[in-house]
Amino acid sequence: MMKWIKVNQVREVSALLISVMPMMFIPAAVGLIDSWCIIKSHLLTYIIVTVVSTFIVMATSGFVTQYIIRKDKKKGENK
Amino acid sequence: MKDLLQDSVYFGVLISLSSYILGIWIRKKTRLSYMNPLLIAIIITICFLLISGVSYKSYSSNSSWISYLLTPATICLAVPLYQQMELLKKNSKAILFGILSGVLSSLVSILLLALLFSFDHNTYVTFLPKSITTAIGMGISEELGGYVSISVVVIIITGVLGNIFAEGILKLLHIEEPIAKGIAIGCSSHAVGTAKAMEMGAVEGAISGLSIVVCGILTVIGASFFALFL
Repeated sequence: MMKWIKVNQVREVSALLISVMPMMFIPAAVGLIDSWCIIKSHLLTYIIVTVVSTFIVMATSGFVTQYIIRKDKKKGENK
Repeated sequence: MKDLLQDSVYFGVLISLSSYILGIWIRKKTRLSYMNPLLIAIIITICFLLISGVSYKSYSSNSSWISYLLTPATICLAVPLYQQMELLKKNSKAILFGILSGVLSSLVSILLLALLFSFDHNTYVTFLPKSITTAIGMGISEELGGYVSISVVVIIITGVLGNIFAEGILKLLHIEEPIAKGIAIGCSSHAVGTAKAMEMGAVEGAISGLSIVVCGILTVIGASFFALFL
């Protein structure tokens, strides 16, 4: 690895930018004002789809990752 | 008053920043996890625009540099990842399959829900990129013929959901490995969820940041394939 830039040089500013990241989504989310007339007639459906699929993804990817990590750990112990 | 606000170059930035600061303050005072600063800021800003009569167009044109920061901030996610490089190499198989399962479950669940609620093609592709970061998600929605403005809102709401509920859900499901937590949050709720992962720990945060990028790229490929199904 070439050490052109050291982690110390960028760590502080990157930590700052990452910590205020949620704020950067405000202008886009306020666009809800403009799309409200299309959304409001299907509001409940859209909410169900968003909530259900978010939790399915969270559960699936979490389970798969944990399963493989724990299986590999066991294999390591048996060797 | 309205003209003054509409013409001011910094009005959009000012209202966004101050409502976000207020959101953080409310969160600190109440200590309730569903008092999410981003959610509060969005609601306050919307109310302010509706009351003052300033159009969204003029608000968004003079708050654009806030959104502009999103790209450099996404690149910054590489720094915590770099610091966890050893861990990443050691668990590369689990991370790879975890992220793949996240992308697939997202696309499949949207397809099934779209069939269940009999969405038309345009609405279906609007939701396809909902778990990835807005920068990439908007592009996918646009390319496939979705309603981009709805995609953006759905993507951000998804992030807020992850941010608020991730900790409780992961505990409920007994997902305890820090890497698995990071993957679960990054895959399901991109950068807004990652803010929560960073609070949970350095490993969770770094892996969540990695998941955003990899999920984004894989979804570009996966979504154009899944778009053919409906």
